[in-house]
Amino acid sequence: MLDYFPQYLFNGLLIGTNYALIAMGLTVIFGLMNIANFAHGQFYMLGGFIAYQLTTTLGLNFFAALVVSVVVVTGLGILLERTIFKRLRNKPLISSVLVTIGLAILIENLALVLWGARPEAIPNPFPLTPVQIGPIFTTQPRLFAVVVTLAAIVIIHLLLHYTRAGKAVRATFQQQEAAALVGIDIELIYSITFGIGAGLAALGGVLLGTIFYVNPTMGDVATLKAFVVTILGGMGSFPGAIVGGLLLGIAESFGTLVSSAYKDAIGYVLVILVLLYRPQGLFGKA
Amino acid sequence: MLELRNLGISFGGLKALSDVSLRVEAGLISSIIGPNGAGKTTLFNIITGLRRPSTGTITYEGKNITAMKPSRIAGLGVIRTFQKTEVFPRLCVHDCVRTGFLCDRSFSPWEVLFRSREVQRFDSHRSSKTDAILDFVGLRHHSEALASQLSYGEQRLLEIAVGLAASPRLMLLDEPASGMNVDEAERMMMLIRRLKDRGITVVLVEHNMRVVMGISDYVVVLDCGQTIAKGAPREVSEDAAVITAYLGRGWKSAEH
Amino acid sequence: MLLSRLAFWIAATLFVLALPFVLGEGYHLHLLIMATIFAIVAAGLDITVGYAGLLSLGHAAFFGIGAYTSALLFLHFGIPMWGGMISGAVLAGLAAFLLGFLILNVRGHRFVISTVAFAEIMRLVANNWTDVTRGQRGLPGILPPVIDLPWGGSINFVSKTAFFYLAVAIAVICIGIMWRIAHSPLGDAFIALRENEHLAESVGIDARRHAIQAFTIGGFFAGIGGSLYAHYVSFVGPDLLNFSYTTIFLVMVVTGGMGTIIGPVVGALVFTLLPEYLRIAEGYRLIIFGGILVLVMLFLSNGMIDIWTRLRNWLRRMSPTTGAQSTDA
Repeated sequence: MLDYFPQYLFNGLLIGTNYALIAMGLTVIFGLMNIANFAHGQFYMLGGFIAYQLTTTLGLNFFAALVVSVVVVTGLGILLERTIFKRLRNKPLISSVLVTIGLAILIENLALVLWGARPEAIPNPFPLTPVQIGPIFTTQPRLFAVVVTLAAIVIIHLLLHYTRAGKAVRATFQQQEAAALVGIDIELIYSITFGIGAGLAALGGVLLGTIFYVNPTMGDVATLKAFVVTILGGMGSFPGAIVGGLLLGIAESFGTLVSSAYKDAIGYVLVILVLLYRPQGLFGKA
Repeated sequence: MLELRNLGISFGGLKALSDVSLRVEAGLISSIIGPNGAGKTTLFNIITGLRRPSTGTITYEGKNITAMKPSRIAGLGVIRTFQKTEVFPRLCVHDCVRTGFLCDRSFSPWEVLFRSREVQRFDSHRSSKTDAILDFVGLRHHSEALASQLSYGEQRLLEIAVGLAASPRLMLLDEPASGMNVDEAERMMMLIRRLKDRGITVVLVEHNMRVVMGISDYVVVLDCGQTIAKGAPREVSEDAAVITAYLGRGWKSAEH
Repeated sequence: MLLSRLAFWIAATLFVLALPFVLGEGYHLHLLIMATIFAIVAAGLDITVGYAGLLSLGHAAFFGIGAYTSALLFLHFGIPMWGGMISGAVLAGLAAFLLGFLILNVRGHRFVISTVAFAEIMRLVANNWTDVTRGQRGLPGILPPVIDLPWGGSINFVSKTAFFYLAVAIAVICIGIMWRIAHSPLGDAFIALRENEHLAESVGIDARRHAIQAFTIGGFFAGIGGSLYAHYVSFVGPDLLNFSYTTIFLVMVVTGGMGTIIGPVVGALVFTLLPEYLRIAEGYRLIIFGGILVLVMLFLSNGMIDIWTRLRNWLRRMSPTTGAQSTDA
């Protein structure tokens, strides 16, 4: 069993990076706008399906489809922020939760109507021949996914810390009123941040569709996982989303050794435990 | 009635209160004054159980209430108002006050369903007393108005009315006269005197010196989390340390 | 006007009693029975969400616990619906109590997500604990109750008409209880919790204790609904704990009107009957559900009851004579 330890670890990291991608967007939206977006997973799903649509019906090159899909969903995110989420900002919790749930149902069932309930894989140029790195067996699509995710995380980090726009985002994050006073366009920051969060989720969806497949109901599970990771890592914490995502992925991976049916329950039990003993999560503020 | 001994609390590295001791005599109006950031509201928060002190004890009518839950402390008769006015926004004034009567008087579902006579008695008790309380604070004519639609000054009166419904023996009022003009502050002063007449011990945190000097029997001055003077208003106003700490020229105008 | 109130109730009762004969033993009566069952659940959820302000997103779990408990007691021990319903409700209430006890130190988003987490755990258990629940195959063959009359013979609730009367009777009792609770000092405490928890605590209302109570009550009545469902539909499966059920219950409460008890009952009627009668394809129905939820929460957050109340007030103002006479609240 222990021989497989590195394999399980790698698998856990693989799925963990995917979780991190979805969670990053959610945690940032929460930290900035204090809105719990239950429709977040739909961006994940849409990313996957748009890429699928582009590669199959339009015959677009895989990499181009990936980029286009992320851009489209980012744009959709900005649109939704301007129309719906803007109105939710100072409303009570029940409004934002129920509106986003309504939105999730709407988008998911629209997707069901458009694409049917069958899972689809995104055609990609990677051969499925196994690749071996030391004791670990994997495939090219999976390696691609990990590399892209890590690249995305690094890019976001660089953008946040070394560009003016990034600093503006961080400033708004920490102290909105002060940021507004120094002339930062808060509305723009909100829209862009929301859009990027959606785009990150979409990227996750495309990558998943490359490794496995996408189906219109995957948004629900994605939303739940995103919330689990966000609570584990701390709502509003970027590093929390990454570390939390990896931890959840690894925990679930090793959890399949015990029981693969209850693998998903691991995250939920962790959530309840965290809420009992450390409600702010790993990196959150008390 | 209320005794604080060696109370101290730190937030992060900042010592908000250190070694604060004071005694509040029953039936009197006491005021806690001091510059902004002196720790006055923190003191109230500790007394009412919203924060736990790092050191020290609080004794109320002989009972140690230092680690008690806020609702339990309120049940013992210690009721406070807040610096930022708190009401039940979507309830009408009448219902807000009626809610105050629930202080330490909770009904379980069984009682509600099967002991309806006791519930009825409670309800009629509430109804008859509510009008009296509204008259006392002067809000009777607004009985049906929504709490969120009252003016700022009226909401402050409502807060006191809700507190009165909870049968307080000690009321902690956090800046009751803040944001009020001279007339409103005058009326607040009279209201607080009426509270004293009803036998309620009052402790104020206040910045308005006219109010403080006008109605207090006892004054405590806090600065940087420590007590720097205690005593009758006259004494305190002439204490050199107090004057240096914050009163300065403000004193002269308050004495008129 | 006491007379007019009495007349209204008599008319309503006669109307309800006559319904099965008007509608016949068919699909329409079936829908009404489902609506009645959901009304009980929705009213219970109203206590938790509408009165106490606790956004519970795990209500399907309590519905499911009630259903499974009742089903298992019947199938393994032959316990009829009466015992099953009480047991199911007690178990569901107990689950709610325990979860609330554990989790109600936190509020807001964290509470919401923990209810979701709990419901998902329960669903996974229902799906995978195949020894007990038979997983996806579910538990079939749960029969409606039978009352043996002392003078021989029995009343059988198999027919839709009979079950309809039974469901309505149980619903009236349950909703009556919830109405009583809501309009009592206990209900006032819940409302205080919702409106301003901080202030409530400072006037001696123990917020956590009342939150747990409201949550438990909601769970209890969801359990009753679940049990009724099990004995009517005769089949119980893990899908009963799907998030979609939680959503539908919430839609009923929110669109009907939170914090009114009656609103959610109306919501239950509307959202059980409407989609069927509009004959919309399955996929579109949920799109519309989603859209309604979004629109209502953005623009109409007081629900249909509020529209009804406002309409009534407007009508009263329009007609000077009735304005003077009418004192109904």
